[in-house]
Amino acid sequence: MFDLLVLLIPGFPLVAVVINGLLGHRYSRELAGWLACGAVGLSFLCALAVFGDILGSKIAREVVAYTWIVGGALTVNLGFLIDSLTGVMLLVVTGVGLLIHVYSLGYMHGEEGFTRFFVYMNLFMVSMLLLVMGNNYLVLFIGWEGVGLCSYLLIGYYFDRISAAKAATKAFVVNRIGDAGFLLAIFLIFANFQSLDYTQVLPQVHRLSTEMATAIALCLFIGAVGKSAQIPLYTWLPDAMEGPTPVSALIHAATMVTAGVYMVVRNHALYDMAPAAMTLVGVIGGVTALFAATIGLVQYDIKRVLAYSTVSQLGYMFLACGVGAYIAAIFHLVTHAFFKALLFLSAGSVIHALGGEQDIRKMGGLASKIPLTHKTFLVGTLAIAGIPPLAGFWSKDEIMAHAFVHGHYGLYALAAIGALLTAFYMFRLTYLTFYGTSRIDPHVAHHVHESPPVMTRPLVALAALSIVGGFLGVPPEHGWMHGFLGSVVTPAETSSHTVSAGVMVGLMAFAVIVALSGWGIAHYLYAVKPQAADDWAARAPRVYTTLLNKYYVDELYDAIVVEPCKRLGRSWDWFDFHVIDRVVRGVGRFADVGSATSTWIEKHVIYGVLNLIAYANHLASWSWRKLQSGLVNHYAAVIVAGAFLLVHFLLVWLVGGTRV
Amino acid sequence: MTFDLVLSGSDLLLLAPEIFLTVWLCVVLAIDFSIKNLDHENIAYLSVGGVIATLLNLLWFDYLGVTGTLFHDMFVLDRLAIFFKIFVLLSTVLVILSSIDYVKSFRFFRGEYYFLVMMSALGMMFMASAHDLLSVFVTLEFSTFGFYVLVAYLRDDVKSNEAGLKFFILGVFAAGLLAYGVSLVYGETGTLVFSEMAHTPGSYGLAIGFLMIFAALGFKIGAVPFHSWIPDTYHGAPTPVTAFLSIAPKGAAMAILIRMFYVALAAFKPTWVLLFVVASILSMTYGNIVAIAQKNIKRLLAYSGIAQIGNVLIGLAAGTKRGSDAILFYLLTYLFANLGAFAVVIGVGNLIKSDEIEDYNGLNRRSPFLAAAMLIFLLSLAGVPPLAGFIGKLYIFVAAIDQELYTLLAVGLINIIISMYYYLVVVKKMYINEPVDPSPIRVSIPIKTVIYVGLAGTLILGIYPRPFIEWVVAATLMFSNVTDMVAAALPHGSGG
Repeated sequence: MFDLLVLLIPGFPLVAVVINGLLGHRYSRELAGWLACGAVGLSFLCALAVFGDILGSKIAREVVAYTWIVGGALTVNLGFLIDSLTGVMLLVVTGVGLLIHVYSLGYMHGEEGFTRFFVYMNLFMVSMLLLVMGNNYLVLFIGWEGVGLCSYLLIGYYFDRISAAKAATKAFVVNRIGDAGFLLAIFLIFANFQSLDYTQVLPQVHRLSTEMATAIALCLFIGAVGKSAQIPLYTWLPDAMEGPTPVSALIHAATMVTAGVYMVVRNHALYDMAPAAMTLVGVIGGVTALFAATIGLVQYDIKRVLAYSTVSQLGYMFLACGVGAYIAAIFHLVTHAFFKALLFLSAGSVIHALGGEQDIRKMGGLASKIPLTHKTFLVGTLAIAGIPPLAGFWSKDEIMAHAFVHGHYGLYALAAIGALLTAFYMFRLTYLTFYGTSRIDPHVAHHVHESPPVMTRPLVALAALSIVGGFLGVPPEHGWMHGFLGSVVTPAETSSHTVSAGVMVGLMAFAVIVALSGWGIAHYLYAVKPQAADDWAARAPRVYTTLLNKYYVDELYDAIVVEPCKRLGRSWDWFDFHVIDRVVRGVGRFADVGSATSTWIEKHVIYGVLNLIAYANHLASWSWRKLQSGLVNHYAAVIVAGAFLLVHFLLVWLVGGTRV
Repeated sequence: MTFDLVLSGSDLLLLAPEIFLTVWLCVVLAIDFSIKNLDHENIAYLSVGGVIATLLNLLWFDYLGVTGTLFHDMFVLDRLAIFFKIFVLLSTVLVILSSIDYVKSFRFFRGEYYFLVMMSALGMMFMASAHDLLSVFVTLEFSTFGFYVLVAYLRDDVKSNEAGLKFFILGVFAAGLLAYGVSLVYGETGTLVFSEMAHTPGSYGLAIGFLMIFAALGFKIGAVPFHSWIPDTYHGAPTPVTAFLSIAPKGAAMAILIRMFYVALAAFKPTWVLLFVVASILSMTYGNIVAIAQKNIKRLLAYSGIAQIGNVLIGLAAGTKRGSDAILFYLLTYLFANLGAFAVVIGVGNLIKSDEIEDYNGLNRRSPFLAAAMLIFLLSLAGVPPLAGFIGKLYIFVAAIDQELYTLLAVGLINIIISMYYYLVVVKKMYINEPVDPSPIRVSIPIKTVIYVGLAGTLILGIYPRPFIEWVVAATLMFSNVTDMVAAALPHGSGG
C-alpha cells in the first residue's frame, strides 16, 4: 500500500501529461486544466498519506519501481527513498504546486496554448518529484534535467517574444554548465563507490580522502550553482521572468531553483568531510545574498525585483549550508516557498489587473482598487523582510544566528546587510505598487479589477502559510522541524547549546531592528519624501547606473565567453573551407621529397582522371571548372597529412619508451 | 596457406542472411527491369520486405546463438557480427522508407536506387563479419561502391555531382591507404587473420601498417583529421543517402575497428589508447565548435555526427569490455535519434525544397508533429535524460572512468555544453521564429513511420534500456578477457 502510494505521487501527474498531451485537443480547455489540477491534487493527497506514515514511523524506506540500467557494476534502479527530508520536500512541491496550478486556471484563462501550458506544468511536477524522491544520483539527475527542460519550455512559452526565446536558451545553456559539474560528480562518485545509491554511498563517505571528498562536493556544488542561480551562474534567473507568472512562482521561486539546496543538504555527509567546500558554499551563498539584493534595489520590473530577491534568498540558504545549519537551510527553503510563491502570485494578480503591465513606475495607489491582492502582497513583504512573527523572520534569524554563534562573523555581516537591503527593496516595491499617487496609464486605469476567486483563494492560503509557517521551527534550534529532520540531517556539531539565551534574544532583536530600518528607509524615500529617491540616485550616478545595469555581468559574459565561442566556430568553418587546403598543400609539398613530381602527378594524372570522369558524366563545362579549383586533391592532402601526423606522433611516442 | 575450399550445407547456413539478401536484390532488380509500368513505391516496399525478412533471420540466429567461421576465418559469424548486421539492416529499412517520397523527384532510375541501397547494405553486412585484412579490404570497397553512385544520384544537381566526385576520389584514396597498410602488416606478420596477428611481436612496420588502416577506417567513420569529405558530401548527396551514409557505414566500420583493436592488437593496448584519446578529443571539439557556424541543417548534422563519433571513440579509448558495450549501445541510440532527425529533414525538405536552417522558422506552427519529433531527436543527440542519448553518453563516460581517462571525460562534458547550444538554435527557430510561409506541412505515411520508430527507439532506450543493454553485453562477450590479454602482454615491457 505504502509502495503504491509512493509510486502514485509522480504517477498521477504523469498520467495527466500523457492524457492531455495526446488527447488534449479533443476536449475543452477547461477540462484539460481541471484534469491537470486534479492530478496534482491527488498527488498531494498521496504525499500527505506518505508524510503521515513517515511522521509515525520515522524510518527511511526505499521503493523500487523497476531496474533501469544494468551492466556490470553499474546497476541503477528507478527507485525512491522516502525519509523525513523527502517528506518535507514532497509536501512543499505538491502543496505549493497545487495552489499554483489552481491559480493558473484563472491567470492563464484565455491564453493561447492553455492545454500545452498545463502539460508542461504537470511534466514539471513529475520531474521535480523524481528529483526529490529519487534514491540515487541518476534519478536525481533525470529530475534535475527534466525540470530544466520544462523550465526551458515554459520560459519560452510566449513564443512570439524574441526576448522569451533568448531567455529560455540562456537558461538551458547556463544550466548545462552546472550539469557538466554535476555529471562529473556523479562519475567521481561511481568511480569511488561503484554505486550510485544514496544508501550505498552516503554512509561510506568517511572512506574518502579529504581531497576526493572536496572534489566531489565542489563538482556537485557547480551543479547547484547553476540550478539555484548563484554567482557566477545566476544570470539566467532574472531573464527567466519572461515566462508566465505562475511559472515564475512555481519553478523560479518555490521549487526548481531550490533543488540545489536540497542536493547539498541531501549530501551533507559529504560536505561535512570537506571543510574547504563548505567554506566556499557559505561564501558564495553570502556574497550572492548581498550582491543580488543590491541589484534588486533599483530595478523597475516588478517580477525582476522578485527574481533578484529569489537569487538573494537562495544565497541565504547556501550560506546556511556553508555554516552547517542544514536544517535551517531546509526551514528557509520551506518558508521561502510560501512567501515567494505568494509574492509572485500577488504580483501576477497585479499584472493581471493592469492588463500585463509590469513596470512599477506605471503603478501606484493600487491598494484601494485591488484590496485583497494588496493585503496578501503586504503579508508576503512582511514575511520576507523578517518582521516577526511571520515565517521569514524565524528562518532567516536562525540562519544568521547560527552563522554568528559559530564564529562566521564575515558571513553574518553579509547576511545582516543583505537583510537590511531586502527589507528596503521589498517595501520600496510595495510602496511604489500599492501606495502614493497613481501613475497608471489612464487607458488601463478604468479596467483595473480584483482577480477572480480561483486566483485569490490560493493567495489567501499562501498568505496564511506565510504567517504561521515560521512556527514549524519555533523555538529556534528546537522546533518541530528540527526534531523531524534531525533523523536524516544530523547537525555537524552541537556546540550551539552552550550559547546563552541572552545572546539569542539579542541577535533576534538586532534582526528585527535591521528589518525595521529597511522598512523605515523605504517609508521615508517612497512615502514621506517621494522625490528623495531620485536625489539619492542623482548624487551617485555611477553607482546607480551600475546597479541598474546589473553590474554589466551579462555584457561581460557575452564578451568573454559567448562571442569568442561563436567566432571560433565561424573561423574554423572558414578554415575548413579555405585555409586548410592551402596550408596542407604547403605542408604536403614541404614534407614530400619529390614535391615536383608529386605536383606534376597532381596536375596531370589526378586532374586528368577527374576531367575524364567529368566528361563521362556529361557535366556542364562550368561545373568541372569549379571542380578544377582543386578542392578534392587538397582534401586528400588533409588525409595524407593526418596519416603522416599520426605516424610521426606514434614514432615520437615509441621513442618515448613505450613498447610496441 | 592453401586455398582449398570445402563448403558443407551447414557452413552455408552461416551465410544464409547474405545469400537471401543477394537473391532478393537480384529479384528486385529483375522485377524492376521486366515490369514496365511498375510504380517505384512497390519496388520500395518489396525491398523493405526483403530486408525485414533478412533482419528476422538474423534475430532468429541471435536467439539460437548460431556462430561459426567460414573461408579460413575470413568470414566470422558471432554475436558481434549479428549485432552489427541487425544495426545495418535496421538503418536500411528506415532509410528506404524515408526515401520513398524523395525518389519521386528522380526522373530516371528510380527502381535501381533501392537496388543500390540494398547492395551497400549487403556490403556492410559482410563488413560486420570481416575477420581478416583481405576481407576488410574487399568488403569495405564492396559497400562503398553503392554509395559512390548513390551520392551522385541527382544527375542535374551540380552539388550532388561534386559531392559524388569528391567522395569517390577521396574514397579511392582511402582505399589506397588501406591497401598499403594491409600489405605492410602482412609483410611484418606473415598473416592476414586477426586472431593470428595477436600473437606476433610488435614492430614499427606493423605500427605504421595499422595506422594506415586506421586512417582508412577513420575516413569511413568521419573522425578528425579524416573528416574533410563529410560536410561537402553530406550537403550535396540526396538527403536519404546522407542519412544512410551518416549511420550505417559508421556502424560497420566500427565493427571492424573493434575487432581489429580488441583482437589483433589487444596486446598493444597501452600504445593505441592515446591514439583514440587524441582522435576522440579532436573529433568532439572540432565537430561541435564548427557545428555552431552552420546554416544548413545537413551540414549541421554532418558536424554533429563528427562530434558524436568522437564520443564513440571514447569507448575505444577505454579499450575494455565495457568500452565495447558502450560503443554498441551508443551506436543504437545514435541510430534512432539520427535517422529520426534526418527523417524530419527529408519530410520538410520534400515540401519546401530547402535544407537551410532559416527555413525551419516556425516549423511548430506548420507541423507540430515534426517540430516535437525534431525536438526530441535533438535533445537525445545532446544527451538530455531520460532520452536514449543520455544513457549512451553515460555508458561511454563510465567506461572512460573505469580506465581513469579523466581528461577525456572533462573534454566530453564540456562538449556536451557546446553541443546543447547549436541544437537549441534549431529548436528556437522551430518554436519561436515566425514562419515565412505558414502553410501546414503534410507528412507522408512512410516518413511518419520512420519518425515513430525513431521516437519509440529514443524513448524506450532511455526509459527501459535494460533488454538492449543485456543484448549488447552479450554481443561483446568474447571481449571479456581483453583486459587479461593486455595484462599478459605487459610483463615484458612493464615500462610502457
